Amino acid sequence: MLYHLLFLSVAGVIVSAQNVGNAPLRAIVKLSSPDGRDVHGNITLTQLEGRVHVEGSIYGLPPGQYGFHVHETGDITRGCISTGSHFNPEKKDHGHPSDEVRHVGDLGNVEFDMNRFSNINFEDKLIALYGPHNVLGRAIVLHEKADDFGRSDHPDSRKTGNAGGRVACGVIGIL
Amino acid sequence: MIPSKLEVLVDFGPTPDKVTVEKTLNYLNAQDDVQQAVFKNGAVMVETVLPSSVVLDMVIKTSGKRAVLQGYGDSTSAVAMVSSKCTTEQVLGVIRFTQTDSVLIADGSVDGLTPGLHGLHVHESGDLSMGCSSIGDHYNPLSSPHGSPADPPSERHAGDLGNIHADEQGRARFRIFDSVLQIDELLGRSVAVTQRADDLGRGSSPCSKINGDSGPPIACGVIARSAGIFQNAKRICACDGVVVWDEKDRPLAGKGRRLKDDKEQTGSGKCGGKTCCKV
Repeated sequence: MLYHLLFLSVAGVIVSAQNVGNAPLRAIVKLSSPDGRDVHGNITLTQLEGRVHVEGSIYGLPPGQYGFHVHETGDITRGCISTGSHFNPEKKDHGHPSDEVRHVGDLGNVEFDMNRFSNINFEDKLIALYGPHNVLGRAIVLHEKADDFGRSDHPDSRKTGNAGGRVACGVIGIL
Repeated sequence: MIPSKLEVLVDFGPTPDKVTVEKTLNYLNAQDDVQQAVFKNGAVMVETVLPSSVVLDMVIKTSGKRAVLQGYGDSTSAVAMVSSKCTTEQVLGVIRFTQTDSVLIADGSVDGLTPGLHGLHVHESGDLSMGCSSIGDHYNPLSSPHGSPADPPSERHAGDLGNIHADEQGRARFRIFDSVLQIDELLGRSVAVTQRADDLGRGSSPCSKINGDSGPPIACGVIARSAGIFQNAKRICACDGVVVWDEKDRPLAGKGRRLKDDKEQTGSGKCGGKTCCKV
């Protein structure tokens, strides 16, 4: 009996260790501009319980708000355009990160300051580093305009937030 | 040889010229290594055992039109754009992965290499924050020694994909089958091409059992999710154009493009496992 208990506990340790190994808890994105613009940054994603902490900095845009989304694929072979649409596994309309109706990839806007820096530090409850909302191997895309969160009259508002072209992107990799 | 399915988008214009489409299909279908080529849903669908870059070149040459690979494989597929950030050389390539029932297929084209063999490995991390020096060791979930892709899982790293061969122009084109790696475990990790040949764990160097004495990675990229055939509804974006290494039949990088010869790469790690250049 004691032997069995010991065996079970050892097996339990091995299983949990494997789970940690198989489900990486941290990820990183190196953002860059395929068009050669001087826009770059590193952003880390840390899986917490029921949410992901997104943290990092980006350099290179004038002061203002810019759309910041997880896109469906991480295919950057044709620049940021080949990363597909916003990551939207639940087929919802585009929205604000705090909306009920939003794409999983809708992370809202990031703000750049007078020194062309954006310090990023927020948490999101929908993206994840495992499971159906897993963003590993997908892309983070920084857009050229502000995301209107699906609230304007523009025809693209409910699809993309009318955030315009894609300035920089990078593949979300295991850290 | 296990064939792959390719969805090639050709810039035939709004009303495709039948003669050009037929000519392209006939050329492809006449190739021994092409099982089938058809025009479907506005794209050329090719089932082939050829590397995708070879097929793309054939389509571009025969049709005289621009073309891009829109989808690859009919199940889960992945793609990594590998590049070096070195100022002294420029290695660039695209490596695609698709899973079949029996094997993983790695299909790639890499330019700018020194002629000869170069190691190809999947690394455990997809961290490019310090270029190829931050991607970690070879992906090795079983803690095995380094080996050949033909070795059993206990005697190779899962990420050991052996060597690729660069021709005189510095271009390596390959289509590798691997029965150990699974596509799902690749996503978010990285793939790297090394400076030298991988001795497959058979050499006398102490690095042989670690990285095949293959030197530092000289080009790498994160393995990303990509669209399989007919999974990407978006067609060519007018603002986009064609990726450079898809539209040319000469290497994007290589002899004449390199600023200086890249023989003097200095690896700082014990087995030259660090980056090829300062980042």
